[in-house]
Amino acid sequence: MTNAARLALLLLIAASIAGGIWLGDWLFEVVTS
Amino acid sequence: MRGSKQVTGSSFPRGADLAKASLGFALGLAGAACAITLLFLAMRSVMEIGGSCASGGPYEVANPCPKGVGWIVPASIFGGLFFVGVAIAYGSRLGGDYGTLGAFAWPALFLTLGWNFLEYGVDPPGADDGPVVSWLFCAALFAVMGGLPLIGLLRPTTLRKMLWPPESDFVRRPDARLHDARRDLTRTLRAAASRRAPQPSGELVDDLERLARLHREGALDADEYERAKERLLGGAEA
Repeated sequence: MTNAARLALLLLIAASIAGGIWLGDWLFEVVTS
Repeated sequence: MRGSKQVTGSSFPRGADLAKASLGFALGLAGAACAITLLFLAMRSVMEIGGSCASGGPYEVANPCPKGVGWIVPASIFGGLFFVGVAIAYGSRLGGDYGTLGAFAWPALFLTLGWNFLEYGVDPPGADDGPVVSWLFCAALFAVMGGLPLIGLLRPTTLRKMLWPPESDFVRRPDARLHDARRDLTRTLRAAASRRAPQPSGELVDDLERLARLHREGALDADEYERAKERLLGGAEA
């Protein structure tokens, strides 16, 4: 496993979590408004 | 040889396997984060109106739930469990300790909900009589439940294995090696069969003699014998 692959996975992890939080926030706004 | 390199080399997936594992892992993490965010916000909206609510049923509801909260809470709990499972399953396929990242969902859940208890416990909405002791107790309980596992997960060696796994974590387990060896062998045999590689004439004669013997002994009928012979000779000519 190369360092580039490790870095890509690390970015994917960060982006997934950030994206999930954003999506949850957006969904909550949409559902409750 | 390509096959032997795959068997003894890194377990980090390649090609389509890597794409599938990464996509599943990302989907699991995003889904889990989304579910925890929804639960966090739904809890806040309930605490905002005093900490409890109800909807439906035959009775007159004194404190109706904010719109959507009635189904957001159960959906995010079960959805969250599902997505954590997805993250662990696909993270494990990536190798190393990536799957263990799913364990962060536990402290994330308890610490975010504990934060709500703390915030609204210290300063409850619409009340003039100060802190709510029962909520502060819940805050302390949730802090312990989420905090203790988090201390374990944040140990540098554990964290490093999850986020930047060393090469030694990608050494094949024996069962995985066996699985790969079997897969490689099947691929090789299929490829060889489709190529119908020419056989050395000595081998061909042996095979023809064996076929003839099987035919004589009655194991193959005339039709089967002819077809098998044609296949053998066809393979030799190709």
